[in-house]
Amino acid sequence: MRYLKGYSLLLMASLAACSKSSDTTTLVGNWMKRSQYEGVARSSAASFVIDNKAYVGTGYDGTERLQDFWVYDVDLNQWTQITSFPGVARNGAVGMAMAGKGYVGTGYDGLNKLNDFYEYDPVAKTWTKKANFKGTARYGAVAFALNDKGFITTGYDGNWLKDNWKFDPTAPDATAWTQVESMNSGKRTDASAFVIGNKAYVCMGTANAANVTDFYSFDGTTWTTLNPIANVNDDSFDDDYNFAGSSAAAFSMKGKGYIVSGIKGGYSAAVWEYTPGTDRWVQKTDFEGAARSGAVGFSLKDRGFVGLGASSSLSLDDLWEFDPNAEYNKND
Amino acid sequence: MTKRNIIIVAGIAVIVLAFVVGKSYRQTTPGPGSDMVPVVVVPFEINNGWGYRVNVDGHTYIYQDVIPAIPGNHVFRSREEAMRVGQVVATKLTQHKIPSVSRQELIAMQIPEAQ
Repeated sequence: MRYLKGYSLLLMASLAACSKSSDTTTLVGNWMKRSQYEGVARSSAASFVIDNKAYVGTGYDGTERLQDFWVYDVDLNQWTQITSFPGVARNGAVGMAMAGKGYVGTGYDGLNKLNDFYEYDPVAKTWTKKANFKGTARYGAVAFALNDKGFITTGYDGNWLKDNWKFDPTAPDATAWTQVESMNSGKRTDASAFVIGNKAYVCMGTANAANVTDFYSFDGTTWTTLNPIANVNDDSFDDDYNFAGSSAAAFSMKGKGYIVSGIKGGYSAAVWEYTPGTDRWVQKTDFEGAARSGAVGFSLKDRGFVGLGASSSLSLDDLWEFDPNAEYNKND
Repeated sequence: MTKRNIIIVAGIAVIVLAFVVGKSYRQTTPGPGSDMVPVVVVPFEINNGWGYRVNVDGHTYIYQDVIPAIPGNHVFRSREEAMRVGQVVATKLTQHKIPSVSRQELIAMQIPEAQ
């Protein structure tokens, strides 16, 4: 029985020790409502992908334009705040990556349309100002990189645009930007672009309060007209094409392009998949998150992601992974 | 003290302990249906300095292995500096704000690298 007494004292001591150590961890904690957890929420952010990490920054939180920049690790589902964007806070900027560096420029600061342009070095973790974008200052453009050259096209400078500018990251500032062939027609802003096999595909967008249905690919030199995203052909393949809209998220994965959510009259949750070989679109399972505008879309390691954005005046912080071939499971 | 008394005392002690531990457990871990989640700042050592994690409901939401906002690969000089900034970030999260810090805020928090 002496053994029992000793045991109970030992038990009390160890329990006391446990409760003490857990006290020290809870001291640095806070409680918050899950519903009030906002995170890096924003719409119309700029993003680019380098080394299987997604960089997301600037944008609009519903009240203010933003300068902060974050890197997201999809494997760990973790965010790290990186060096702040050095230009003025803005939304509607474009982002792209080439030759291991990220580029962000143009956009809107609330008063002015912008044409400044910056490079991010993910190793040194620094931003460097580059030559200003040579087209007119604008927001709502799209950007993409082909063969380590960057392109900025479409957007809004007071008018809807279809001009196209090439950026060479290795050229001196004076010759870094050159105007190249414009999209055949289809001026627009808030369009979507994705790259598959060294061709960029530009679709969606609005001009003059109408959704643009013209759809083009660009190989770095020449634009090619593709079937419009509207029911215009006598054949039946486009009878269901009803997704023309703006401010949608876009990404490409495993040789196909995806357009997710955006505005089509109201907010749309529709997801459409494009196959370049056949120039055909197929509707997929609707986006499971809240339908939204100004979301970011990116793919890495053959996985597609869509998130952030805004629904009405509420900015969102959730990120969703899309598996185009999975059966819908509302409990996942 | 008789054997029976020892058993009774030990039994009471275990019951009291179970009650106390159970109560404190309930305080830190709300049951199902609660909308409250814990936000905890955890400092860690990295590259001869310090960083912090902000854990939300047990998952690391923010992993800060460099000083945020300022250019370059800088780590916090001390656990205290990492905690100071991490706490501000965690407080923003709980106040429904974007959990970013600016260089100005780092200067106000007396982080030398931001000067």
